[in-house]
Amino acid sequence: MIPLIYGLAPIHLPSFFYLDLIVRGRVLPKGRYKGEPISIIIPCHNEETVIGNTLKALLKLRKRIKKLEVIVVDDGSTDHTFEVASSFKTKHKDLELKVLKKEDGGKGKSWAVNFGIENATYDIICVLDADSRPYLRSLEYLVPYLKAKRVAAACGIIKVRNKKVNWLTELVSFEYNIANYIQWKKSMIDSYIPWMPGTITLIKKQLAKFPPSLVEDAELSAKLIEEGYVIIVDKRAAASEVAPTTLKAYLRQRIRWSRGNWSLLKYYRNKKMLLNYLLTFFERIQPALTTISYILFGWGLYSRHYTIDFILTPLWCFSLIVTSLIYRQSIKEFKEKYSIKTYFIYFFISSFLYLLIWFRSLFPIKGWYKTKRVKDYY
Amino acid sequence: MEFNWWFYLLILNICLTIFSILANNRRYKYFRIAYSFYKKLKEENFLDYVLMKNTSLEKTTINDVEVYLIKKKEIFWSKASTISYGAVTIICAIIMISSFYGILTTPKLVQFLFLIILICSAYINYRSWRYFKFRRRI
Repeated sequence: MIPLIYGLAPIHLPSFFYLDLIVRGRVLPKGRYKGEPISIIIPCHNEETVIGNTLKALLKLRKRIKKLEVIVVDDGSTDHTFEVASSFKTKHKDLELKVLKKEDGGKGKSWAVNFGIENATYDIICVLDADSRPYLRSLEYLVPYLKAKRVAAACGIIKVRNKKVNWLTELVSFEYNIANYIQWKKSMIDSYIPWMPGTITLIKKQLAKFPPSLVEDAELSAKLIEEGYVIIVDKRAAASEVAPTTLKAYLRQRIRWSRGNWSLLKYYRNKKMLLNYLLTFFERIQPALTTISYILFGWGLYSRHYTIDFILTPLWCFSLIVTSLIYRQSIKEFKEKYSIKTYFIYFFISSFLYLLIWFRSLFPIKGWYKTKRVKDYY
Repeated sequence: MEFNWWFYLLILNICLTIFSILANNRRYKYFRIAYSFYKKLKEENFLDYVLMKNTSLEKTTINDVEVYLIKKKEIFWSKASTISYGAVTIICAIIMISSFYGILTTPKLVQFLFLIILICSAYINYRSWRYFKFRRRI
């Protein structure tokens, strides 16, 4: 029974680096928000189901942030996104809202965001996804970091709004929780490169030039860090998002990210950041290692090698401990609760899903693979 | 009484762990001194000080010799604690993995002793930044 459990756990060589991520950190002073004006950019491509509610949520922020400009960029939508956002503008004239239409749109998020930034009035830019709703004080927590010279961007964490819809949304929420934890810790250690999450991201206007890429936020993060800037992740600042509710939508989204991540490898050749370089290398080859581990496990079962001294058992033991520790720490830090079922699904199924995504990402994808939103959640 | 090679390594690791505690204490002592210094003058620029690198030491925000010296000492102790923690981790990991695979012939207790030192060293480093409070007296 014991090798059966270990066998289903893939080899996690990155576990050594995750242990380092858990252990190290730094103390960051928290500043006070002094009424700095903010321009919020919301790129939209067929977002009629969510954009209205997002704008409603932003209205609440005005209680705390007096100078708030909201720019909705309609990036070649074929639905009623532009009309919904424009009607909101006529209803709420007191809100500083600009609704822009990009005629040659649909090329990707970076084009839309850069277009919005060009039209922004203020020096602090906040990039939000069309379905993202920041928590009331999130932007206040992030703005003070941008006063520091070396800080290029300050980001919050993402929570899943529709966590209770089905097993997949709970799984995505769990996955986000772990990713949030890893990014938060990476931002605390100089040897690693954290990624801006693409939403709830505050960035200095002069540095906000998103490159054309499938993962424009991660690519800009890597560029900025190469130039000597720092990206800070504050776990107090959060925004809620809608997770894909179907497996097909989930896979499409992950394939897009995974395909985009290949283009990031050029930024990891920086040997000064050796730990980040090695971690990325192991993360990239992890699916191949997983396949090898399954083959070895099958061989172990075939040769009736059931005992604890099975050749890879110590490594699996170690990876199991670190993986459990990272689950525990991420749940403790972000105060989320999950059913036991989710832990098991994540532990046993996610490696198969990642393997599938990884193989698919080796081949080019047609178009943008943008997630289609069918319904909004509260 | 006969001492084995692993015994000396064990002692070295314990010494490095104790050194790591001291280095962390010194590091955060200078951090607190810097905070009290900035609190009087420009508290909002303290983040600049925290993120300052070796290369940017010449251009301190307050541009004062005192800040420069405090930062230099803090960086020194920070590096000392990181190096001692790294050394403990590497030694423990090598001994544990080699013992698991039977490359080293050590008693089973030795692996556990090194594992305990690894856990202690990791926890000391985790605790130093996670439960830090500015309020404590310098």
